[in-house]
Amino acid sequence: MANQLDANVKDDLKTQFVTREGTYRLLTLSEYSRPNRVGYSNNQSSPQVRVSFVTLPNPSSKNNSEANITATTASTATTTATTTTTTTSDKRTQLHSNGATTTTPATPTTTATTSGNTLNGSGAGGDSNYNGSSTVDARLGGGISMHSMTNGGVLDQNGMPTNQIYGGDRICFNFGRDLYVYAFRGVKKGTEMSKPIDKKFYKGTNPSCHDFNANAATPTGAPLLVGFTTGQIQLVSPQQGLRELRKLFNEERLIDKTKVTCLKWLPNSPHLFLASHASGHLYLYNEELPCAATAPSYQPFKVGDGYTILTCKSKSTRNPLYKWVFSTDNCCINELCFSPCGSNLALVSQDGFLRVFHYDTMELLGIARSYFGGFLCVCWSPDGKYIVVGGEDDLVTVWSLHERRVVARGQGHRSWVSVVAFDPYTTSYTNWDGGDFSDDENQLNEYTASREDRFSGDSTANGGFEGFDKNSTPLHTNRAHPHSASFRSDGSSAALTPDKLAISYRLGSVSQDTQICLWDITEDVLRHPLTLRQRVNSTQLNDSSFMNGCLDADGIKVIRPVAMGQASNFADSGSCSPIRETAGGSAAGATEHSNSSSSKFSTANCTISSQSSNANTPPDECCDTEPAAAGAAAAIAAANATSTSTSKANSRSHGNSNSIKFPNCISATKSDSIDSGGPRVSNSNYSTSGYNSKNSNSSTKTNSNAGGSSSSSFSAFNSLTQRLSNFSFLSNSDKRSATIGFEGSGSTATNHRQHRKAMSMLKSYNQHNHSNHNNNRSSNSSSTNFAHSTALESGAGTVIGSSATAHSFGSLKLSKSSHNSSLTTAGQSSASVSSYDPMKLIGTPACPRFEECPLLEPLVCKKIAHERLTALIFREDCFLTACQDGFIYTWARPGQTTHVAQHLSPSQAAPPGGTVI
Amino acid sequence: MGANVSQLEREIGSDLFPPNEHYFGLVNFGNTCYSNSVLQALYFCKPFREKVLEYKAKNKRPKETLLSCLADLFYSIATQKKKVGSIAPKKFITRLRKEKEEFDNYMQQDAHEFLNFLINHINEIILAERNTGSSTGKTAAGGAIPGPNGGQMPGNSSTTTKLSSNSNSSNSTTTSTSNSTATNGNCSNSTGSLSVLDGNGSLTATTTPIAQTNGANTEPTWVHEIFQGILTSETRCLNCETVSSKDENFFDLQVDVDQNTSITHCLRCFSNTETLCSDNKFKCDNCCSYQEAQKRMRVKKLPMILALHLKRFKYMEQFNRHIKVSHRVVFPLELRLFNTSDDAVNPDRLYDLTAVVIHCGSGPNRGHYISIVKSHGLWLLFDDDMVDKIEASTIEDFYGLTSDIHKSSETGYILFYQSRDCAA
Repeated sequence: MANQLDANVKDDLKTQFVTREGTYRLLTLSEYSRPNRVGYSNNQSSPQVRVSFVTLPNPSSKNNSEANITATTASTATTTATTTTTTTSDKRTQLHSNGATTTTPATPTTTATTSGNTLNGSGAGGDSNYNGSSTVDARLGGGISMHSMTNGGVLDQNGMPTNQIYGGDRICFNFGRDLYVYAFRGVKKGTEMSKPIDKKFYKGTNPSCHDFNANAATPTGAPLLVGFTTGQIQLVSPQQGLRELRKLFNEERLIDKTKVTCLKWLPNSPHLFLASHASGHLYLYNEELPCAATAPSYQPFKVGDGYTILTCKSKSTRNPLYKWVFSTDNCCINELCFSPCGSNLALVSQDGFLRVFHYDTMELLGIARSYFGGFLCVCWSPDGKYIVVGGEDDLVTVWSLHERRVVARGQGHRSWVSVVAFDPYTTSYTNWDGGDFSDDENQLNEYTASREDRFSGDSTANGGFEGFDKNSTPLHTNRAHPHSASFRSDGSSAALTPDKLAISYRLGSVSQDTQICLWDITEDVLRHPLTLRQRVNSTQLNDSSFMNGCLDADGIKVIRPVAMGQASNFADSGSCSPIRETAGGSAAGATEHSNSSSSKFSTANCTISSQSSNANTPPDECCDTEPAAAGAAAAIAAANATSTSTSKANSRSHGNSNSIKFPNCISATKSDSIDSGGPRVSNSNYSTSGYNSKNSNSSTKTNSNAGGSSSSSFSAFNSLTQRLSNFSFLSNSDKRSATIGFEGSGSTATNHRQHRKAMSMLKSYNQHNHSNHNNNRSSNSSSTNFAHSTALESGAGTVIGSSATAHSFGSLKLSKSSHNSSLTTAGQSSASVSSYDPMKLIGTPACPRFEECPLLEPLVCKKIAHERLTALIFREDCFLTACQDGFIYTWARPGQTTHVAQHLSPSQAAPPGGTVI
Repeated sequence: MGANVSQLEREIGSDLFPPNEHYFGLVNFGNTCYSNSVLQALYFCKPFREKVLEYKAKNKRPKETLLSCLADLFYSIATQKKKVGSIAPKKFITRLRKEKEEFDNYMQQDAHEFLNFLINHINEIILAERNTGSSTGKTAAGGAIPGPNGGQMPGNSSTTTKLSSNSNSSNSTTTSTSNSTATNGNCSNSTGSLSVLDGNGSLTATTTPIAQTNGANTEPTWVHEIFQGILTSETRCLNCETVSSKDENFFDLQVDVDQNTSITHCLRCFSNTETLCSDNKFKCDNCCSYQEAQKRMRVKKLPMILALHLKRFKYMEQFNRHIKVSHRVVFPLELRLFNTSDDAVNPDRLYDLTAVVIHCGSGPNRGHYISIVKSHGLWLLFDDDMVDKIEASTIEDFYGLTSDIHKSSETGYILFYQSRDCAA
């Protein structure tokens, strides 16, 4: 403690640390900060120093024509994730692959001429800009002004600055009232601290957050959104040369007066972005639309459990497009994050809640509650299965999307956790067939399609699918180390050894305690069962729909929660890889087990009774997860069988088509994984899926020709689920989303998109045209997410006892007739997340008691700064940390240390402000 | 001042101003900010205020005690016609200076020491009055000692501390200073301004051995009900492996502070296992000898109002004086305890931050106390007679400093967390 009183003592700071993969080293020459290093300045009460990152497309050559540059938009951009989800790219290889394939028209932003730009700072004259920088002062209204200095360089004949840096990576960070953009030069080169690409100083306000629009990136830069403490939002779009186009949103603070807490571009759109404010409200903007000069008046658009979505009451479309309002007090949203597939949105807020939405349908998928205090940060796992949050309880909390429960907590920080980030490059896996990328079944086929498109070289077919960067594919093909192979390395990972290693996610977190922690989250932790105490509690509260994922009706089989998770993975992802994950993690005999179960699977398609008898046997096995998955599959199959056999006449009904999607999804994906060369799938699985796909596809076709909608096995599924375990989320969501679908048929393009996803998932493109029907279907398809996991869980439940199974399938038939009533009651009972009261949530899956939840310990926990840490970004060859004192450090991964670090000596380490090494 | 208070009303807005709520500053009588800040914090601890006002209502013509003065003061605030303003706690301060000679001067005092004194003293008064006033025949033994104690209130301030210590030994419910006087020996006797807290133990609590609470007068007072929690200290003899546990009452927890930590961490540290060895060996009843042992303290009963004292005044031998530790220690608006014992009665209790006493300044012997309180969702800053509305985001200004380049700091010193399930 004594040396902490003395800020000059540095010896307790770590400049390197060792993990099992090697040594991470601080690169003191790859350090980013304000250009003019000054002594200690108190930035404590300034906004958190945040870092945004973007990878720009590279121009194919220096003589690249403008058209060519601007054409390099969406497809390349989609490969680069914004901010924390960084993508790696070998710039040169990326260039060729992307430059050739892009056909997407340039976005208006990037093609817009700067004629409307009132600022003359573009520096048309060569001589005046000889020093390579241009200075702009601008009033931004609302009492704030900006002084901007752009480091461009000399212009050549074409008006192109010759020194301008094209392509590469850009890093942006805020400090106090300043905002800086640098070219990120990686681990190979040191920084050029004196040459920021852009620096802006604001008066009257401080920048509080920012985000690059990777979807609209050009070689010269990417549009940058900047949010301010006073509520305004600025969009700075770089143009050719030194010009930039600036727009201001919420300029007069008519929309929201409070601090902008987080800005995120929508992953699939070049023009839409979300802005959250300290008021707790979330707004969707379209950067192409102006903000009207009057304060918006809102009307409800959608009302959900504990949240309301409003839209502007005005004749013409205006900003904000939507306003999200949440019911709890003090729900200032601290961070929001889109899932890797782009379809789900996670929000964390000061009220201590994690809320997960299906973004397009605006449906709440689940919540989690902090142990206490606010949640400060959130990040999705690379495969979209898990969300990790950090907060004021000093904990790192892992939440499973499929199980809708907190699966683990990490304790190691000594203060609030300010940033959490998955390290996709150190996430190890085994036996990966690349089929389980999506966190949402609706995404799956789209993704698969996109992957196929990619393989065929047409990357523009599907509009912007952020997160699955093709860049990582060649890279990881080259990287043969299993531990460093990424989840995102899709088909290429087939080259890896099929050893059955446990899945392990690598997670990093930084905290106000100035420490960085790395965590390994292994499968055995994630499948840790719920404890008895929790089960007791959950039975009391089992009407709360968000707990569906983890509630056990009988709660005896401890491992079953995992089984349920696996089962739902099984169906959600539509791939068999989770089975083998489980197998790898649990027992060697699991593979063989999966074979047997799959054979049951096929049997189950024929008769219910045999299915149930089959289901009885698996619990005897040592590995419960397999039987559960098998049971789930059997349940699906049974449902399928029921629908086809007992209700042939009705089978073309709308609801039926939904139920059939389960097997269909599975089969479709399986065949996809075969197409993409997915590795090692057991033969019996293949045959099963083949059988299944035939079955389901045919029935789907029948459906597609039928326009009518009536009760069906889908509802049967619902009631089955309810009967089994009182889960009611499914049918409720079905009902609600269906309502939305009808209501908003004209109003929401999102529904439409959603619908298309659903269609693509079904691979029944011919259904595409029944618009009304489609809308309905689309909403239903979204609900099948729920149906899915829930039904599967119940299916898992049936494995346990034959009587239960028999009963459930009895009800399956019965429920067909009582479709409507069950739907209604379900709508009532599950209409709410039972409570947002943390006193009631304790001991539930949303907030298990401390001793009920697996507790992780950090792999490493190192103090690396004297000021609180505020950012953490993983890259392929390094990771970056930022500190509230305005310094961004680069840490080389093992084996990535270069000459820069090697000739590093104490004298060369710049002494920055007495706070860092 | 007048302009200031009316501004507050304007800031809050007349329609948003909480009904039946009054925000009154307290006039400073010369270095009485230690008292003002604590009184404001206590006033906005709802259960405490209600009990004090209830006491006022029940005792129409009480003998003047510190409690009656406090009740008068609270009553006076609560019955003001105006919503905002300031009031002079003259009677209370006068009474206080009579009660305890350490406070009978115009020097800086330690706010925590004052809080400690006040809570214990009020408790004694209640017990004394209960005994003298009751006809239940509960006069023997345990009851007898607090009786005279309460009776001697006027004048005998110099012996009060001693007496309370005495009563400790025979009846722990009466007071709580036993451990604090033991660990912080010069606390009650010091004429210096601040209590001396040893930096060795990770936590010292103002505790009393609970084993003695089985005396006659065990009926808890409302002070107990509000502030008292139970710590259980488990000691495992390393020789015979016998685990012995002992329960102790506490009115507040005193935690060491580390740089760049959270109050959560500081509290967890207190439950870290500590090895008793060398000079500090444990007398094992089983082995009948002093043995090395492992000890840890955990919370068994969580109080309704959890008062956390951050030990920011640290004795530095090299300077031969106390220095202020301005470390940045963050405290959330909501808290649960990690360090509850396995048999804890109410381990899930969720606390909300309701008040913070803040020390401003560079060292223990100079500076100023202010307090921030939460009232009806508003955060208010009380600086003697001035009251300001602040944003919740301002609270982070009171976490502390990450470097000691700045000599002066405004740091949270006493945190009051109120259990949500008791929210009135």
